[in-house]
Amino acid sequence: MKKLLQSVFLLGLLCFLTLGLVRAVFFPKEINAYENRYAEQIAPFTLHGFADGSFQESVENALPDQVLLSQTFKKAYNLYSSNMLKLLSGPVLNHLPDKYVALGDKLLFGGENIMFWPYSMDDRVAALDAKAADYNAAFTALPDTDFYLYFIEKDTDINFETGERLNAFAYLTGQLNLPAAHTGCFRIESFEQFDNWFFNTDHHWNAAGALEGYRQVLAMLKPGETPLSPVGEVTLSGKLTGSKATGVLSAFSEEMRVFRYNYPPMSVCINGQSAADYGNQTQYLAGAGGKPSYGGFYGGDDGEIIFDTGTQDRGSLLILGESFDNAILKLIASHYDRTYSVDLRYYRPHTGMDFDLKTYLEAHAIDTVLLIGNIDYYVMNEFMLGGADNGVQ
Amino acid sequence: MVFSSSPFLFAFLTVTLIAYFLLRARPWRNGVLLAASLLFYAWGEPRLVVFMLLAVAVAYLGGLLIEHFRTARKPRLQKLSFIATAALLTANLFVFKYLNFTVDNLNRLGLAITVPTILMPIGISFYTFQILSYVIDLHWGRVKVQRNPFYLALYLSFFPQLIAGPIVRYQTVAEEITCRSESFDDIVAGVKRFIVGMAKKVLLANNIAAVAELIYAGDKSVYGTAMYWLAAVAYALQIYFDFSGYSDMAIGLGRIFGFHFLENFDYPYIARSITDFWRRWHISLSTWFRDYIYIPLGGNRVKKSRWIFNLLVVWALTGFWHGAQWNFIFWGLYYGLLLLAEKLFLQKKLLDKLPAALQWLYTMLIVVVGWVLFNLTDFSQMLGALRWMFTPQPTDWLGVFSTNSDILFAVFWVPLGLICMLPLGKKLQMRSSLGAEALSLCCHGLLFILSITFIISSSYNPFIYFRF
Repeated sequence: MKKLLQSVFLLGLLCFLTLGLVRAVFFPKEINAYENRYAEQIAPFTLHGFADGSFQESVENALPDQVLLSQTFKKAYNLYSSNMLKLLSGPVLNHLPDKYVALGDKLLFGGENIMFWPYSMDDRVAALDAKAADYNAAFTALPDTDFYLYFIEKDTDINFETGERLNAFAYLTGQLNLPAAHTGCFRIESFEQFDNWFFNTDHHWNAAGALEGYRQVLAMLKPGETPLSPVGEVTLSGKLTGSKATGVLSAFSEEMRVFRYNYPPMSVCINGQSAADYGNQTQYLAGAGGKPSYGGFYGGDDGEIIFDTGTQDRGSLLILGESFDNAILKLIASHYDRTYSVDLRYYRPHTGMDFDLKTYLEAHAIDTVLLIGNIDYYVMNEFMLGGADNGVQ
Repeated sequence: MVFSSSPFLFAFLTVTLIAYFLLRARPWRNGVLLAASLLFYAWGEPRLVVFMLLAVAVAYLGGLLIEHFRTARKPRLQKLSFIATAALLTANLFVFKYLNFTVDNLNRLGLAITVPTILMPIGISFYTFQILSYVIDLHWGRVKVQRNPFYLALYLSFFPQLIAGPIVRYQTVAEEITCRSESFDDIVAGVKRFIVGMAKKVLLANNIAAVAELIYAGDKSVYGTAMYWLAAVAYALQIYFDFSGYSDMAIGLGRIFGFHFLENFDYPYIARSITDFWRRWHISLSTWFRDYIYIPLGGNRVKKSRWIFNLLVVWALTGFWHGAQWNFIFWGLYYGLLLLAEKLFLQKKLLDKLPAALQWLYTMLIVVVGWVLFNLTDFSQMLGALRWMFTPQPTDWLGVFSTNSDILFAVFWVPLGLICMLPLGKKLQMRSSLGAEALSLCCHGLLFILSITFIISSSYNPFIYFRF
């Protein structure tokens, strides 16, 4: 009996190891779904590859992605490390409400807010200069279009410990040939304000922040127009584990509170396909949305979304933005005949077409463009209007 | 390739085990082990495998010459062959490990010698000492000559003990190379031992490692005396679980393939004197120096002054073996002087009269301080750390944990390490009922799964003793 137990034990171990190898060599996965990336694979064996170590490196990288239950092991490890970190850091966090506390490669502030490290302006000046030049070229090339710019500050724009600010909005708009009334900033003045307007575990603004942002944007685009107001506040069932709560902080979660709005009727077309709605606000508010997430509730990042309210005299708007605007697209669209939202990162992958700003504006008879995003939007090349490529030079 | 890595576990070990046990004939099985061992070494350093094979060739030819002249009753030529062989093997070690250090120090004295920076082959200290044990024992007539070069190559390159020990003497495995039996009980015991070693390394050593690493790399104004002591204790635990874990894995692997290596550790942190500590720590190295250096120098059967000289030489060499840095030499001499003090007066006049707890405390204090000398190769950093340990400085605990939670995380493992350094498992192993075996298998299975989880998911996985 003892030998039988031992034999089962040994065979179990050998089978586990052997199947892991067989899987990695003969049936490799292409996608690492847990880490949302391509899975590493073992490179074909060559003597040259062995001599220079690249074959060995590929084996070392591939096996943790390919062996049996590898993703379960990684999930278990992250769950363990995250919960352990949360447990151990609790007493420290309680004593340091106004200090950044480093947890793994993340920061916590104010107890439960996962933070990004405050950015350094030195690292972003060149990119902002390039973006300003790109925008100015567009403004010059399209003199009949009204351009507006809205800058969303977040935790990267202010050091809550020292109060030091990045002031990227002032730096960028100081170089733009744009009237001051056509620029606006979602300004974060203090941690309390940030805490009210942003999720603890996600990098986006929460319902209150999005509402404030929408009001400011509308006041800039259509001064005097009355914004929509929430008709109710709901806490979604389930917990939100946002984009910042990954790796060692995956045990951090929070409630997701959202507003209910009475949107006017509008048709929605996403990437050329007619859609019942953008996002799943109705389903979530009816308790049928599943696990809460920012993108799940408000809508994801799509190359092109067109909202048509069916009205005739309120103008058309093009919004060139990123995921922050997802939460306010339907709100802003409520004030226009047609609203076009383009995410330049995904326009070509999702629609199969190159984006040309001038052609796009002419094709849809758009006379107003809103540039909206956070600091990353204003420094990333993917969001360049594109100069000659987009018909603006 | 390290034992606690997915390439070793899922690819190398799996294929080797299957190939080995599918074949029945001893020569084929040895062939599998030799091929696997060469691949194991070449995995990390394909080109440097040549130098290991050269060491085998030198020892093989030298061994044949020694045996030839012994049979021909030509003791002078036998001795000459022995000296030449040992000198060649030692020179190989010197060039790769100590030449740059020697030249650097000579240049500091005013010379201007230039030599290129030489990359040290992994495990050269271990395999050189192993092959020297063959040559020396052959010269002394303790072992028979190995006429099959492949078997000598297998002895030296056998992957379980190739790159981080234990230092297996030829006489320990000479018979088992050609005539051994792999019993089911040995395989079970070997697998269990391997899993325990892997868990020591992956769960304890790797997790505790961050404490010393972060504190020594951090800001002294934040890390006060308490943190520096914590770093020293944590490093003591890290190096123990790292190295003894590796030795456990090596011994376990050897046993799976039918080899029985001698123990390398015997719960060193329960020692009650430095003499006792060195009977329990890295046993294969201390006994190597005892048998091949200390005793040939005359051991303690000489005049007192000569005995003191012998002891200090052996301990300076023990330190130097660990690395071509002055701190290792000082670390060796530190122990040499302490052992001398214990043997001359400390043991009988003081230590033996103290309660056991104080004896243990005395030993641990010296060992922990010793690890600071060992760990910090930069003298100013080492002296700074020692000064901080012995001159009370406040610790900004909140500052420490707010700037780096990894320390907080790692500190959690220290108490577990303190418990696991005690011989609790040894007592549990005494029971042998069916229920106890089932429980034992469950525990080993759990340790295996936990270790695999950490291996697959975390990236920190070095072996301290690889650099020796």
